[in-house]
Amino acid sequence: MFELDRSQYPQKKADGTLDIDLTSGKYLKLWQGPQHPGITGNMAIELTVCGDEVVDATTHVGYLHRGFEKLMERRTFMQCFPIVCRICVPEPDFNEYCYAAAVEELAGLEIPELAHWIRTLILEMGRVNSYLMYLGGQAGAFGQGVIGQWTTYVRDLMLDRFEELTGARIYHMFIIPGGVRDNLPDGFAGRMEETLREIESVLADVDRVMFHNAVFKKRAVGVGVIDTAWLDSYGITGPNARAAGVAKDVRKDQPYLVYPELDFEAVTGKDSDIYTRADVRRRDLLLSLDLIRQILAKMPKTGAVMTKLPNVLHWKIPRGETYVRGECSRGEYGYYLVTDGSGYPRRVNVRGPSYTHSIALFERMVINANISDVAALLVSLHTYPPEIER
Amino acid sequence: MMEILANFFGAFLPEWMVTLLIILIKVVAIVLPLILLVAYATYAERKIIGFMQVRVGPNRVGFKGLLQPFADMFKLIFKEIVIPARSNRFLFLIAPLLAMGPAFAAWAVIPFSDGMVLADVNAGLLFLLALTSLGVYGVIIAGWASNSKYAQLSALRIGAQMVSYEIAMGFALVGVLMASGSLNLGDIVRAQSGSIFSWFVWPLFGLFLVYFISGVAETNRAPFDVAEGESEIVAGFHVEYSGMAFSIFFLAEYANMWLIAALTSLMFLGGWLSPFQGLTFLTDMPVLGRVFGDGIHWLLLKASFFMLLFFWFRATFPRYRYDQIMRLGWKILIPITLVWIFAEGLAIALGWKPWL
Amino acid sequence: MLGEYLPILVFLAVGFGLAVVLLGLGLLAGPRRPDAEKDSPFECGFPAFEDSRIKFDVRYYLVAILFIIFDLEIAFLFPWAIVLDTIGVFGIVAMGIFLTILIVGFIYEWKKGALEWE
Repeated sequence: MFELDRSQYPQKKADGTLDIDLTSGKYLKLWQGPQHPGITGNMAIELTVCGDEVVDATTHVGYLHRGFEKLMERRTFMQCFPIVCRICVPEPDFNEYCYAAAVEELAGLEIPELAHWIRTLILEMGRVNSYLMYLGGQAGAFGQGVIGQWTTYVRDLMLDRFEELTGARIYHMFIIPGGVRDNLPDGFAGRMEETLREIESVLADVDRVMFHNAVFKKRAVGVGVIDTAWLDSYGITGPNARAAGVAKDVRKDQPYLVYPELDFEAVTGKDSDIYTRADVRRRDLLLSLDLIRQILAKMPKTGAVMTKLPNVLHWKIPRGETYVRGECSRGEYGYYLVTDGSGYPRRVNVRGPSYTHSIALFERMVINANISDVAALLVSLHTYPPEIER
Repeated sequence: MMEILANFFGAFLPEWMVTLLIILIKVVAIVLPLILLVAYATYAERKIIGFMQVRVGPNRVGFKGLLQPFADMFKLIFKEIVIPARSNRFLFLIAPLLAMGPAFAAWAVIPFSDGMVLADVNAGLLFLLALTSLGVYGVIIAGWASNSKYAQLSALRIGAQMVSYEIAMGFALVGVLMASGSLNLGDIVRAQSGSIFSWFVWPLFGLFLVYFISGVAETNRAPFDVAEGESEIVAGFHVEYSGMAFSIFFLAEYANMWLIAALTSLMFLGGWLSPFQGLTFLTDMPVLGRVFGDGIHWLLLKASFFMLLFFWFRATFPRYRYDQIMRLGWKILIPITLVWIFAEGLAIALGWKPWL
Repeated sequence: MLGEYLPILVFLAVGFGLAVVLLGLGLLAGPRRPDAEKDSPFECGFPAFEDSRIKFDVRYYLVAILFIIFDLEIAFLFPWAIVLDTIGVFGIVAMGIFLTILIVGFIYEWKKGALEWE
């Protein structure tokens, strides 16, 4: 199933590399990235093309490596908290949640009910932001600039909500080990409702201009199909898997926070091409809007939002290890945390979906693709380079 | 007015110089407004696309940003023209000239109003076809001279794309010629006089669409802008160009857009003819009659409408993939024009000319 | 007769002249501070592997050949289209035969896959 149709393409040499003779004039090496307008963030793709088709691709990452996992081994548990959100820029809250949940589990902390609701709210708000960014990026990769501007506008409204809730727009640092920093401000639900309405009205426009656009369909339908057989072997999760018809959603499969009390179904598609993936994300976005409404309606209004923490300067967590997972906008997000009884984490390993999606899967998918579709393919997997490299 | 000038200069200059001087004055009278139109097309594009994208567009330089094109121009003049070390210097610098020369010279045969034309030549349309084909040289040479892979790929793509759509364009023109019976652009417009229903857009609607679509493809505008597709090959053939050398390509592109817009209006929408033609109660009014009557303002209005379409396409369409562009050109537009010409020829042979 | 074409020549000269003036202005007014990195061809931030003047795909060549054939056809159609009124049915039939031959060729190319870009 991993064999490619290579009848007219370079054959493999004995050492497993492709027999590509660049001087033959048949092949051309072409870089896409890191300084390329079509590539999201800092990564490079080294393409070998034959005519308009890609015959070989290598991704090069490392332009954004900041060494978070190592950094955290020399920081106290509380000092780790403000840096984890820097791992992924467009959807930072998942790092905060997973880290906080892992620490709480190992330290044996019990979190107040209200904090769970607020955490779920923040995660869904972050998901909305991330999907809005994706929709703009997907249209932009096809050269349709207007969608990105519209979604940026409504994303900004959502950032305003974040600002009044957390005091920050990008790196919220709100989900702290032990709870959340504060309760909702007064009148938050009403303003959120206005924002949700505005997002819905813009999404209706996006649906008309992007999803019903003949040229967009021509570019996206049937392009970049992910075989269902690859799902497990490449570790595909999230909307990429759901677009292939597999209802993989950690929110449903292994509910965390208050998801068991919310009423929703995992969104799935079936064609698994770029169009379906975009459509699944659009519908997932609508689902998130609905979830935010449900959360605001069902959540308790008052109560404690923080448990009592020990002195964080000397906070020692007993020996143990755990893996906390959650469903972020790109797939399964997980934190593997090992403690050894000292004041520092022994090992933190972040499982970001971008890593599996944009390196192994992308390198496989891009083969035999048209060179024009490379950027769109990468965007359609919805990966964020800062999350790949950490 | 020209006679007065001719007499004035004739007093102290030989005759051939007077002729040349008069022509030069006329040329400048066309080129200057054209440059202004081009400059404000860039401004209009940024404003219109800005409004479509829920932002305001340029609004800092001058009233509502109206001086923005000049600010850009001055900025670009003082920018370094980087000539890549491995490029062919001579070709690298000559390419923008080759792009701009034909884009401007094509305006010599455009009739702006009845009799308002610089060179009233009989083979006007052939001349236009020749000049618009020349534009491709600038681009191909630019791509080759840059010695960059993206530029190279883009030059090849643009070459293949432009020649492909030129065929569809040429066939659409043949349809216009059959209906008008003349290669002279002025005569083509005059053949459409009568009323709004005499315009060629009605009997030749398919050719009109083909012509305008090919025009968009010829000027490398969205959704056919694969040559500049920034998410694929960065900026295409002008990736190595900077400063004034880049802005000359830019000028040429917008001059070409105006040219396509003007030609579409001339050949299908009656050029300077007023849509109220024949409604004598409107055209005979004392002052408003000039507005409702024929004149250059109608050509400008119609061309501006097509420019708006250019901008609108760019704002809302994704880019076609390269093979889809070639398929559209060869497998859809060319067969449509062929069938249309056949049907039209048959209609003419049978003496059935609904448009006359 | 040819006198009518003089303005075109002048216009062409003005068009090129304008471009030369603008380019010259840019070359004179702009700074000129070359360095090795700036003057290397854009390769997304990497040093270029090889010369870009490479061999191309044969499909571009095919399109060029097809273009020549069809452009000639258009050149033939132009005078025919103008005098269509006067030559009448004979003209239509003659051009019909000419076009049929070309269309047969076009269909042949299509079926042969010369128009396939994939």
